[in-house]
Parts: sequence; C-alpha cells; structure tokens
Amino acid sequence: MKPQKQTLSPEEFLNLKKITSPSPASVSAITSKDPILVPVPKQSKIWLPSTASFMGLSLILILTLGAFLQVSLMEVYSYPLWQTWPKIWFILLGSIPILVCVRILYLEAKTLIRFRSQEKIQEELKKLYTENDWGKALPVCRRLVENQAGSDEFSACITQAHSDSEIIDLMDRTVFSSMDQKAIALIRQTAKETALFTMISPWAFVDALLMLFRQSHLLSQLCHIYRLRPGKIGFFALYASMVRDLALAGGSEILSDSISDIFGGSLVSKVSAKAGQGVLTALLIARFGILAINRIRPLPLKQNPLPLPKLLSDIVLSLESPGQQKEK
Amino acid sequence: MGFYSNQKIRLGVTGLSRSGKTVFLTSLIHQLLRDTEIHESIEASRHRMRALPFLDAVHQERLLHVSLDPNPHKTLPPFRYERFARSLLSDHPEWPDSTSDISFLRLNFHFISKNGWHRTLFGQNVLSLEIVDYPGEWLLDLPLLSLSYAEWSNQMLVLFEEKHRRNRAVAWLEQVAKTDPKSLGTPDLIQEMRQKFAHALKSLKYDGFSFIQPGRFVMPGDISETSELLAFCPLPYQNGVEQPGTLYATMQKNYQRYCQELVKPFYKQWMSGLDKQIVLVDLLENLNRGHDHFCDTQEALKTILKHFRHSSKGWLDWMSPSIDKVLFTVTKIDHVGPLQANNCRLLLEDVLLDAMRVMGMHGVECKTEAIASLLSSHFQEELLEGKRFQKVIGQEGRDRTPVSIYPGEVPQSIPSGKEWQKIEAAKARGESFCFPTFNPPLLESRSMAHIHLDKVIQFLLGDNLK
Repeated sequence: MKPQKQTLSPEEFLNLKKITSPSPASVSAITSKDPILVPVPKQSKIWLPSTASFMGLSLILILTLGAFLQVSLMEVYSYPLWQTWPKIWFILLGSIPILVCVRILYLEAKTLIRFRSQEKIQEELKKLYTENDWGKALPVCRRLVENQAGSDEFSACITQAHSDSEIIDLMDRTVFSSMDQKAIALIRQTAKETALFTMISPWAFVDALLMLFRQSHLLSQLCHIYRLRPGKIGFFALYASMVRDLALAGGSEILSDSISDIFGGSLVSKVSAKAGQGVLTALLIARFGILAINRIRPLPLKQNPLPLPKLLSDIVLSLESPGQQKEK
Repeated sequence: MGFYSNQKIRLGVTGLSRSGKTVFLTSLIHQLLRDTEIHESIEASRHRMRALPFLDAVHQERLLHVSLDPNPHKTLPPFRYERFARSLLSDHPEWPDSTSDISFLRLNFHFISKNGWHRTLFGQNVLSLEIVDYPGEWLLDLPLLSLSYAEWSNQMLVLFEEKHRRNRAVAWLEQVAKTDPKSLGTPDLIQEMRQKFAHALKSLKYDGFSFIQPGRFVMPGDISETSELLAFCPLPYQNGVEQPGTLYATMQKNYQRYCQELVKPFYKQWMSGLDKQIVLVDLLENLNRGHDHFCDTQEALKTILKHFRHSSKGWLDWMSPSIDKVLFTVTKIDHVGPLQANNCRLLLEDVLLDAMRVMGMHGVECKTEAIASLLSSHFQEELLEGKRFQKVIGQEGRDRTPVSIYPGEVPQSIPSGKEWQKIEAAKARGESFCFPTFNPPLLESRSMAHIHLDKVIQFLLGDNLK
C-alpha cells in the first residue's frame, strides 16, 4: 500500500477534526502478536432456551390450558345449576387465565431475549479485550453502559487514541468499579449472616436449605446491583451454571483455599466444630459471590477483591460476643 | 513524622537529542497542574480524571493536588515550564528549541495513602518528584568515563571508517593522516584539529545522527567552544607519543580534564542517584531517515544504558541508590495512529532486547509504551479493498497546511540488511512508510491532549502514590 498524502482545504480540515468517535466495527480483525492476557476463570456455558423452543413451549402451554378450559366448560354446561347462566360469562371468565398466562410468557420472552443479547455483548467484550485492536469496542461499551451511573464520565475520558482494551478498562474504572464496591460489601454481609445462622441452627437439613436460599438471594441481589435482568428462566439457568461451576471447575480451588485457611489458620482452630461449620459456609458463600460477580460483569475481576484469610478473620472477629470485645 | 510521610523520587528522563524530552516534561507538568485554578474539589477531581484516567491515585480520588516548586535547586536554574507552555498554547505554537543547558524541576504530589493505618497516622502524604532536563547530547559522554584516551581514539577512528561518517569528516581525517602525533602540540594546531573534528560532529548532528562523542562539542552548554577542555580529538596511538609536550600528550591531558571536570560531575550529581528512569526514543524519525540512522541510534542507546545503575531494591539497599523501574517509550506516536502503536512497541522491544534482558536479570521492572506527549493530530479510518487503513490528519510546514496522510506500517522487528534494501527501493518508488512531522496543534481549549502520559505516571510512580 502506497503512503498517501492529501492536502486539505481549511473547511475539510475542520470537518474532519470534528470526528471524534471511531467508525463502527464492520471490518476484519487484526491479529495481535502480543495480546493482553486476562486471567479468565473457567466458566461453563449458561443453557438458555432458544427463541423457537421457547415459543413452541409457550404455544403448547396455551393450547393445553385452552383445551382444559373447554373441557371444564362443557362439563359445567351439563350441570343443571349453570344452565341458567349466560354463556358469555363462562367465556370471559375462562379467558382471564389464558390472558394472564400470555402476558407472563410475553414478558419472560422479552427479558430472556435482552439477557441473551447481554450475554453476547459480554462474550464480544472478552474477545475484544484480548485482541489489540482499535475502534470496535466503543459502540459495544456504549450500548452496555447506556443510562448507567458513570456513563457520562466514561464518555468524557475516551479519546481517539485509546485502543479497544483501554476503552474496556476505562469502562471498568468509571462505571463498574462503584458497582464492585457495593457487590463486595453485600457478599461480605451475606457471608457473615450465613455463618451466624449456621452456627445456631440445630439441623443439617435446615443448613442446606438456608445455603440454597442465601445463594439464590445473593445472586438476584448481585444481578440487581449490576443492572442485569435475567428474568425467571434466565435466572435459573444462571444459577444452575453457577452451581455447576462451583461443583466442577471451582471445587478444587475452593478446597485448597478454604481448607488450608480453616485448618491451617490459628483463628478457626480455636473455635468449636459448629462455629467452624459456620465459617466454612461463609467461605462458600463468599466464593459463590465472587464467582457470580465474575459471571455477571462484562469482564471478570482482575484480582480477587475479597481475600479469604481476611474475610475469615473478619467473620471470626465479628462473631465474638460483645462481652469479649469489651474485655479487649 | 514528616520523614515517613514525605518521599523523594528522582526520575531520570533519558533521551537522545530531539527525542522530545522538553515537550514530555512540559506536557507532564501541564497535565498535573491543569486543575490548580479550579477550586471546587469535585470539579477538580473530574478534570483530573478526564486528563489522567489511568492514574490510580486520580481514579480513587486520593490525589489532592500537585504543585511545582518555583525554586527547586540552590544552584541550577528552574525548568522554564511557563515559557514552554506559553509557547505551545499560543496562537502560533512552535516546538521548543533543543535544550542547550541543564535545568531542574521538582513536583510535589499531595495525596492520601490507600493504607488505612498510614492514613490515620500521617494524614496527607507528599511525594517530591525531582527531574533534570539536560541536552541529550551530553548523555553520550557517560561512556568516556570508563575509556582511556587511547581506547576512545581507537573506537572513534574505527567508527569514522563507516561511509556516512567518513564522508562528513574528510577534512579532519586528512589532517589526522598527515599530522604526526609525536609532533609538538602547538595551540594553533590543536585548535585547527579540534575545529575540523567539531565541524564533522556538527554535520553528523545536522544530518540527524545520534552517536556523537563528545557531546559538548556540539552542545557546549556554559563553557566556551575554544576552551582548553574541548581542545582534543581522536589520534592514532604510536610508540613514544606520550612524551610530554607532544600533540598526543597534550590532547590526552585535555581529554582527561574533560572527563574529570565536565563528565564526572554531571554523572555523579545527576545520573547516579536515580530511582526511576524513562527512556524516550524517536523511532519513527530514525526509520524515516534510513538504515544508517537507525543503526546509529540503536548503538547510541545500547551504549548509554550500560552506564546506569540498574538493580532491584532490597531491604538493605537503601544506602546505595539504584534504578528499579525503567519505562522505554516510543514518542510521537500521534504521527502514525493508534493502530500502529503495538508495532512500535514491538520494534522498540526488539531494539532494546539485550538491555532489557540484562535489566530483567537484575530484577528491574521494565515496560514499553507508545506515547505522544502532545497530541498534534487526529485519526480517520478508511476501508480500501477490504483492508483497514488509518489516516493521520495534522498540519505540516511553516504555513501550517492541513494534510491527511496514510503513513504506512511500522515494522514489528528490526529490518534486516536485505529488508532495508527493499525498503529503500520501495521508498524511491514512494511505496514504503513515510512518517510525517506535524506542527504543534492550535489549542483553542488551552489544554494539551496526550496519549498514554497517565500510563507513564502510573507505571513510574503508582507504587509511591499508594
């Protein structure tokens, strides 16, 4: 390619100077020799129903409900008491559950479609972050941070000279860092509360139920903090994939981290077995929370914001009785 | 308590002549001081965040303010920031002239520590950043400290056998050939030879070469060009030349005085007590000029970097200062556009591979970055035959003609001899890279834009601003 040089008129120059945002991404990627590597934790794919299967299931459900109603009406007609009622009332009464059902399914489908597009954006951002490219990330980031706190700041920081990975970094700094702080505080609080409940609960079955409830509640709150609306189906799919991650990919990590923390730490060796169980539950909740953040965020966190030893000492200190604290 | 809350860092800004040291320093100070006239703290922190988004202390709103010490040193003149900034922000902006003498600056960063205990005990912290601005030509004098006159003469005479040097030093080389070093060293003869040698060095400098020793011959600073300290030039060694009174012995004496009285104090006072270092390299201009210039700059950089004390700081090393972080930067990246930034970094890594390896072995943290101290262009992307091209738009020449240029691709590694031949042939046809030289931009907003200066500050001072 020849170097091209073209002299511009002052008007052309001023017009060109107004261009501040890079052109949209519709061009081939440039392969990088030196990609910036991000430590991405191993994540299993979220299973979400496709649009066709969702529509098919909804249709079957509505038809079944309609048929059931039809049959009920026919039975009702044969009953002498109802023969005196006008037919129109039966039809109106019968259509209410169908309309409610259609409305619910419509809203769910809308949320699901939005959640799936958000998932796609996250995948795209992860890809762009590792490629050393220019001009592709800005439209994606703008779509993601639209109407969110800090989006103005993000737009003000961006210049033409920033590469894609830098733009993603800036979005992380300006928009997502405040959300991270809130999320970490929430995880810390939930972990402490769960530890306390486990310590005082007498049955293991209740512990397990509590754990499930706290995890799902934490996940929904984290989704709320990061402005992610997965809907009911999306939420269960997300939760299922998280549990799968915890059970498979993160299992070894949890064991190596938590057990060494618990059995090697001088703090926990001094507390009773029940208290130890409580601390273990808290650690699991914390791990779940961090995993959830990494799943929900556009890019995983660069470093663990909640080191387990610190969380451990936090929990143990917070569980001390007020009398002991006063003695100190 | 002040001992713990006040830190002093000396930053070495290393760069050959015309690598952009003065503009770098001016822009650095401008970015840090730009909010001083804004009094509302929220507004000030927003301005800083927009100017330096990758600086953690700014992002976490811990940097309170930065001040420039008006009298930073007892003997040295202060860095003329106001003058340079006024010139760059004027209605007819010009790049600053080459630095001809040494100057000093101190920036005081007032910040709050990230560490809770530190914050409770000491409150506000102050980090003093000391920087010396000096002519880049003087850097190449540092190797002279480890060379005797005979060794240096030998090196120079070998160097001047290269075609591009020989052509520019014909008069001096003829004089050396016909003069007997054992002859009587009269002042007239010495001055004549010195003048011819200085003329050769100046013509090399004029043509853009970097490896010029001794540097004071082209940039004397506060000493006179006819001073006895500069009255020497390389001479071939022969048996018996060191007899007192001979031309060789007189020049040897002057060389030793030059090293002891000019180079050693400069090195001891300003180059040996550094904590961090930034190396500025104008790779694009050297690529433009061709193979000889590129190799010359590479050699000059390698020679200079050997003479700094690089090592990681251990607990017991606080008595002996050493550089523990080095940032290598390709400057003037705004002349090629952000798509080429990665290629520039890779090429610089290739150029300084050996130096970086040695530093890495000593535990020094090294990084490469592509920067533009003052953004003088903007970019536009075009699609041609399915491939992306980035055009650079800026103003060229005295009449500030607006031009739109596709400058070509920066090679990712040092071109080999054959590749250089191909590049030269392509250049003749106008099909190879051709990087522009833009004028400084007309800044209506009275604020200088930059590329990656915040990353530079974060890498060099991020740990100290924690």
